[in-house]
Amino acid sequence: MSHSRVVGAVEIGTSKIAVLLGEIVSDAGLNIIGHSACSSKGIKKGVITDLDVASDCVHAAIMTAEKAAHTRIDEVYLAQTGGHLKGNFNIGVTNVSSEEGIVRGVDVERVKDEAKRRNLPDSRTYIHHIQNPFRIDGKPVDNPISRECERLEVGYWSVHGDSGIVSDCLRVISGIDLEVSDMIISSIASGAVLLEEAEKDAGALVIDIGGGTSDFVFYRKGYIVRTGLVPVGGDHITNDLSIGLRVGRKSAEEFKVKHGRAYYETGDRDEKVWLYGDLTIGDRNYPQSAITKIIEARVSEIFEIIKDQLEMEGLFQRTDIASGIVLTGGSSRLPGIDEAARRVFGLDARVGEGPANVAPELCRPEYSTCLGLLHYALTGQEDTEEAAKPAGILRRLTGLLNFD
Amino acid sequence: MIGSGRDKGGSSAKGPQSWQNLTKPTKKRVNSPQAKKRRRQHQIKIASAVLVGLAFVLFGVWGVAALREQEASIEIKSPSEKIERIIFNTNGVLPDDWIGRVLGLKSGTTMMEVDIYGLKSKIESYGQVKRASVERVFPSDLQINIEEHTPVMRLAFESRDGKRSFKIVGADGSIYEGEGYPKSVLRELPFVMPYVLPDGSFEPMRGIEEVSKLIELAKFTQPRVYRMWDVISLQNYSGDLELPGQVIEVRSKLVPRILFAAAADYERQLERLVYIFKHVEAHGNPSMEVIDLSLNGSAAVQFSSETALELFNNAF
Repeated sequence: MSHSRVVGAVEIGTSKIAVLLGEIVSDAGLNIIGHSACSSKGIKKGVITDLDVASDCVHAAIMTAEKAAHTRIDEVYLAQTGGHLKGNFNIGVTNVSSEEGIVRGVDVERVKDEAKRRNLPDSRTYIHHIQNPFRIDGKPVDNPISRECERLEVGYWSVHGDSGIVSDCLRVISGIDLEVSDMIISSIASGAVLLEEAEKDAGALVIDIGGGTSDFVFYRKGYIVRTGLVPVGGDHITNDLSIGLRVGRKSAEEFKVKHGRAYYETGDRDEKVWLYGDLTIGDRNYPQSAITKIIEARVSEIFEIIKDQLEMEGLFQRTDIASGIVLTGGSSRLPGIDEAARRVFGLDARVGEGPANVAPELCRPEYSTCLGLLHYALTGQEDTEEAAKPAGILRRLTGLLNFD
Repeated sequence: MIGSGRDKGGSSAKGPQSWQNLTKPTKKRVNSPQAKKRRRQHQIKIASAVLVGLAFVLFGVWGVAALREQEASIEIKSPSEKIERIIFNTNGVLPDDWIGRVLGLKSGTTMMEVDIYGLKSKIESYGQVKRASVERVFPSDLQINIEEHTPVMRLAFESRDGKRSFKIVGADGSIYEGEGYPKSVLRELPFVMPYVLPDGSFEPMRGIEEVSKLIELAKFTQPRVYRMWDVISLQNYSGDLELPGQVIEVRSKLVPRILFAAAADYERQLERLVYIFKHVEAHGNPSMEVIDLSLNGSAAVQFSSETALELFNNAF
């Protein structure tokens, strides 16, 4: 018996709120049946500052998407971002318990628990425990079960956020009588949809440049080894243009969208761009080089900060990032941003493209996080061995009786 | 499919410090106008669904009831079951094969094809039957109850070609062909000589109830006397009790003529008759011609002429 559920992928961003509706049929196929996006209010740097205003925006976006799809959402997958997100790497170590020195399931569970045991302050809450490769006597392996060794290790990259901020996000969703089934940080969601398996295995750095923040996720040998966030985004570029060109924010935003470039070329020196371009009184022209230099400076700063974070932790090895840099988020639409990234990181860089089987308007970088959320709604983010377990009778019966 | 398979290593945070423990906020719910609208729409949708469901249930119940009613009416109107059994009850002697002959039902006749009123008339047209009832006992039985006439006398006929035949006279004066009576019963029945009407006919026999009373009383109180009765003559009994001199005449093996007063005290008359028999027997059992019990307060015995002469000689 086939059953379907309607999943809402919700990204509460600094500049916009995006909602994608996907219908998951028999946990095997996904159809995107509706979407909506609206400007954000009451949110700064990815953090809700006015709960009521933010709720109005999020609820309006959800209802617009539901109306477009002519259905109701059953469950929500929520993207999480903001400067409150932190991460730490914890390693669990255990000696193999069997006399023969063969790793068993119980050893694996014990070492995992050990790695995730670290307690947080009450004001913090875990969002992800991202497992890294196991090590048996120091050698990395994907699956240590039945391998012979004395010492078993595993590392976890644990992402945690401020309990109050996370709770506010949950309250916004529960305010419209929906429950959050899973919460995924924006960069991981974007990375899941923009990279192929082979690219993850070869190593890649995905940078999601949003309105208020820039999130990144670093894949090495197929594993997510780091995530991070720079509290600088497209809004800062707009702000820089406003100050640098002495124009209002609205005009600065128009400059960014219409004439913005992230990489300075010599041809920009003589080029002039008009503020309005319609010959109205007050219209003036500005050198393109000025616009490009302002943007390039801010974009380069973002990339530099990310590079510094990785280098500080000893992770930035060019050989480990063979697939290069993948850029996404609204600001990744700036022409020349890939060249800017290439120059800073010294690696190949490209703007990520959405999956080929998705409608063109959803392939825009603004929707990559929501597409990633739907990807996780379909595949889940459980451990490989847990996911491989056959469904129990009770679970199957529950599935049969699920009329939703 | 969106994306490229599952990430290596689980990434969902679980446990006491995971975000999932925050999913039940204790704080007041954020209530935006859109949320209220959505909630209201959902409530309206649920209410509509409940109403539609209720309507479907009611329609279903009504449909089932209508279907059952229709099925019930079909059962009544349709040919229904074939008649499997005829339950025949009588207080008399008519045999089972008689009812089969009278009904004349074809094999495979169904319950509703039978005209029970027609059958009742058909059965009651038979003289031996006083009254009958015919009932359908569903699903497949036909019950027939019969009350027969009580036979009290026999009536002998002789056709022009000299062939004799008999009919039975019932206690209510009905005359019919007797069927099923044992010979012993028939033999006990006295013959009747009817009162012949001025036009030569004798049917219907009027006032036969009085004769029946006498016969039944004799049969049960003086069976030895009754068994000697051969003929009941109604030559002097018109049935009209208002007329004077209405006499029921019995011809017996012992005495050729015994005269009973109609509509009088039969018990007393029979007691006198028995007394006379005993008295006569005690005196040598002389042959008697007539015993007249119809005289008011007395009885007269007429002896045969030889006996009378012998008695007269003995007396002097």
